[in-house]
Formats: sequence, structure tokens, C-alpha cells
Amino acid sequence: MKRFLIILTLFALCGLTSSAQVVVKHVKGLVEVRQGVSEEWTKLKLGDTLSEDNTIKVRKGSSLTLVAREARPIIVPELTVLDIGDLRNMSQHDLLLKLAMADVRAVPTQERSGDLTIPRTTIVHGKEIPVRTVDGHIQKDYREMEVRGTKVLYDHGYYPTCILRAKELLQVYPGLKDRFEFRMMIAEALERTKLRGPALNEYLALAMENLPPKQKAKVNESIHRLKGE
Amino acid sequence: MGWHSKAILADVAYLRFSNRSTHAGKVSLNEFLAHTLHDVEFHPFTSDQVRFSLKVNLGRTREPFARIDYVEITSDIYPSSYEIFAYRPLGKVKVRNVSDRSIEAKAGFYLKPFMDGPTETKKYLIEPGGVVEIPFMAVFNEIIKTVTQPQLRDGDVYVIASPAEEYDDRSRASIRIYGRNNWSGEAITLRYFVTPTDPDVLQFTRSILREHKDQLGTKEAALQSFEQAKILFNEFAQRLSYVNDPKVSKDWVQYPGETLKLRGGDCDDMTVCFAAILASVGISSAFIDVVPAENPGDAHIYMMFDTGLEASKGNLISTNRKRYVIRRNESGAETVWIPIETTQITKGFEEAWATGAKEYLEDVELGLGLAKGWVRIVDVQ
Repeated sequence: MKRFLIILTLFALCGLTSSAQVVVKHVKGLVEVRQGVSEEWTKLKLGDTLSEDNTIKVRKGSSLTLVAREARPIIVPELTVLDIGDLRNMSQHDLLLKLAMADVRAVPTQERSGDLTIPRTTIVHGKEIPVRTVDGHIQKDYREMEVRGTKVLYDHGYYPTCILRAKELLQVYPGLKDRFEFRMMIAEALERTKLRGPALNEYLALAMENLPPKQKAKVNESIHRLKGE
Repeated sequence: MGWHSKAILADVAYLRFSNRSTHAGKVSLNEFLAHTLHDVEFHPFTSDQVRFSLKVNLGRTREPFARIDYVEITSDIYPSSYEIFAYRPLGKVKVRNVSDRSIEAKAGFYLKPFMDGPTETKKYLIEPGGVVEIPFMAVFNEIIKTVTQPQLRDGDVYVIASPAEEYDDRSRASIRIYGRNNWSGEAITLRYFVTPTDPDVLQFTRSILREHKDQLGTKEAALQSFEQAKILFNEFAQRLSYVNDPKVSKDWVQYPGETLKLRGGDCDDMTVCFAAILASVGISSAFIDVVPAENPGDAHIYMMFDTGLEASKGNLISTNRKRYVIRRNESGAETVWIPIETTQITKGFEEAWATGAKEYLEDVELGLGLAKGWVRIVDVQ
């Protein structure tokens, strides 16, 4: 009976841990939250609980401290956009499945007949105008906030979700491909997730870029380290 | 007593009658005339005799090279997706080589009046005494789309192994043909109901876009497909009503023209109809087929469409990336796709989009359904 009660208590605790939400421990300045697929941002308050479909946006001069499932608090700096669902650990298997999903999701190749196809081409003339998002942000600013979000994930050890989010940002903002630090972060996160092959591929792809000597040396060092293992 | 070879048959027979009173050949003329004869050769006065017969066959007799052991029909025919049988087997025939040399056999299939002519398979080499299963296809004509009620029909299956002969063996097989609106329940075949060139569909889309020409003219070029889809959906929502009838929806789907004429339909009808409307203006779409592993009874289909907008411009539609899906197209470009829940049609585009996006988030992104195989994306091509 005693053993049964212990098992029951353990099960209850496990359930509590896995379903526990993220709690707001400290808020400075203006921090907003968005629920699921809604477009609307609302102000976040101290003590609020956040669920996995929430997204938070920390405005300039603001900051936030969250307590997730683990004891270590998560400090989110100013100008950051972060998905609460990303504050989770993921098995290597699930990470690989998610990475493979981009291919599964892709439009299948059709057999082409000999018909003439006219490619869709966009030609941009003149100076680039800052693109605004549907809610009025300058897209570049919003991009930077999302990039900072991936850094928060990396700094707090959420490597799988950091990789997935960073790869998604690369799809949305192809210009990030030229950001050395961003791409190094992806490669290092892969390495820390023990995905040696994909990590090596990332480093090798970086080595192909026209990098300054110092960055090149850093990449080569990582390649040698991985190859030497 | 007889003897025969391949071409000769010889027989010798002795006939003796037990009734000696009439058959002995001693009957008088008056007695003979008093009888009516029914058979010239054998009658009461026929006398005993010895008969010789010799039959010689001067022509050639041919034994078939191949025989059909059995025919198996592996699929029922749904008129909506009749084209698939041109490249996917309808059945298979087991063919045996009954000759003493290797043969090359092919199978043929013909179902009148739904085919313009028989379809034949490629040739299969069969060793003496050997057996080969030959899958056969069928190229149906448009008449099959006129079938309204399920019916059973007999098709001809034959095997040809001798070049000079019409066939070596022939068999009949019963095939179930469903009605034109019947659906197998597989999402992959639902796309065959999408008929964007249907005159009713074309008229619907053209008239609505003409009405909103000015409104569309004010929108950014990159957002044209998205805006068109939004307008079409909202008009579609106003003019048609959703009828929730799960019993019927399971195996019965209306063609887009029928849905527009009837001004309504269930989940599958609405999804198919909206996909056809989008396709008629060149917008690609896909069905999202959800069959939860733990509860297949909760299977459900919703859809998404391609805005044609580059992934980098997704923020022009929404900053919430949970509201859209980025898919790589054939040319390698990443574009923004919008999930839509067509059962929310009465609530308009925004609500149908929000619900579709929420479902996609839960099914694919959080539930990993696509990677784990319980969610499938079926492109309407």
C-alpha cells in the first residue's frame, strides 16, 4: 500500500511538472503577450502564467524574468520576441523529425510537360523602402527582436528549439545567412545537441563563405574539433 | 473397336439384332408395306451389318500456350478518380504457361461501355509450366462519370501469348463501380472532385472578382492572391451555407458546380468547392488530412492555400508566424500558405483562417503530426 502511494505521488508530481506553465517572476517596463494565433498583443503583468501557445514581446528599455519548468530563471532582455512553446527540452529524435518536416511540407515536384512556363520574376527599382509589418513595425526591427529570442533560447540551453527557430528565421529572412554570429550559434547548438553530422555541415557551409581571417580560423577550429572526435 | 492417332481415327463395328423374326431379312413385301418407317437407317427390318469408319484430319489443331488460373480485381472504381487506373492496377491475372516452351504473354482488359478499347499490358516472359501474376490497368472514357448509383459489371480479362491469335484464354471478372459522387474516404482522391474549369465555378469567380475590381486595384501586387482568396472566401461564405451531415459526408461528395447550384454542402463539399474556386484563378491549394492515431474516428480535412507571397514578406499578412505555413515550392522558393477551416465558413475569412491556423499549430507544429505520419498534406494539382 505504501509503495502504491509513493508511485501515485510520483505520477502526480510528473504530471504537474510536465503540464506546469511558465510564470512571470519580474517585469520591467512594457512587455506584451499574444495568445495562440491571435494578432492582438496585451500587456503582461507580474504573476501572469503563460502557456505554450503564447508569444511575448519585450519593448525597448524593458526586461522580463520567467520561471519555467526548471528552477533556473529565464531572463529576457529588451527588444526580444520569444515563443513560450520554445522553452522546452526536446529529444534528439523529435528535433530530427521537426528538421525533416520542411521537406515533408514542401510542394511535391510535378512532372513537366513540354509546355512553355513563364517564371514569376520581381524586379525592384530604386531605393529600398523599409517594409512595415501588418501591425506597423518596421520589419527589420521585428526581425532583430526575433533573432534576440533565439539567443535567449541558446543562452538558457534550449538548443533544439533554438535550432528550429533560427532555421525558420533563415527561411523568413534570407539575409540572416550573411550573419556570422547567427550561423555560428546554429552550428554550435547542433554540436551541443550531439548532432555531429549536421553541425559539421553547418561549419563547412560557413567555411565556404568569404569570411575575415579571424572568423575563418574559428570555423576551421570547430571543423577540426568535430573531425578529430 | 477403334484406333486413333493425332490425325486419324479408325473404327470397326459389327451390328447384330437380337430380334431375329424381322431383322433376319426374310420379311414379305406386304408385311414390310404395312409398317410406317420413322428412321431410314435403323428400322424393324434392318439386317445385321459390319461397319467401317475412318476419319482423317488434314488441317492443324492448336493447343493454347497460356491459361488463366484466376483473376483478382484489387480495386473498386470511383468515377471521380477514374483516371488513376491508367497508371495504377485495377486488378491482376495469374497466367500459366501450358506449353513446352518459353512464352511471352500479355494480359488485356475491357469493360464495355466505359472503355473505348481494351488496354493491354507489357509482355511477360513465362518459362514452361511457370506462372506469372500480371497486373492490368484500364483507361476509362467519360461515360463512367455518368454512373449515378453503385453497380456491379463484368469485365473481360484475357491473355495473349500467340501472336496470330486473338487470345489464348479469356475470363470474366466482376467489378464494383460506384456512383459519380461516391468518395473512397481517402484525402488523396478528394482532389479529383476539384474541377476548376467547371463553367459554374468560372462564372462564380469571374463575376465576384469583377465586382471587386476597384478594391483589388488598391492592394499591393504581392498581396493580390491573398486578397483575391479573401474576397472569394467571404463571398462564398455569404452565398453558401454549411450543412453538417457527417453520415452523408463520409462517402458522398458534391462536385463544385453542384455545391454552387445547391448553395451549400458539408465539410468535404465546401473544401472541394473552395479549392476549385481558388484553382480557377490560379491559386494553388492543399488538403490537410488529419487522422489521429489514437482516435481515427476524429478524422478531419481542412485546407490551405498559397498566397504566392515570399516567406520574407509574410509579415505583410501577419507578424504571428503561427498563422501561416511556409512551404518550399517546386522551384525552391519559400512561399506563405494560409490554413483555412472551411467548416467556419459562416463566420467569414478571418475566423476560418484563425481556426485553420490554430488547428495546424496543434496538429503539425506542436503535435508533430506531419512528421509522425498522422497528418498528410495533399496538394491539389
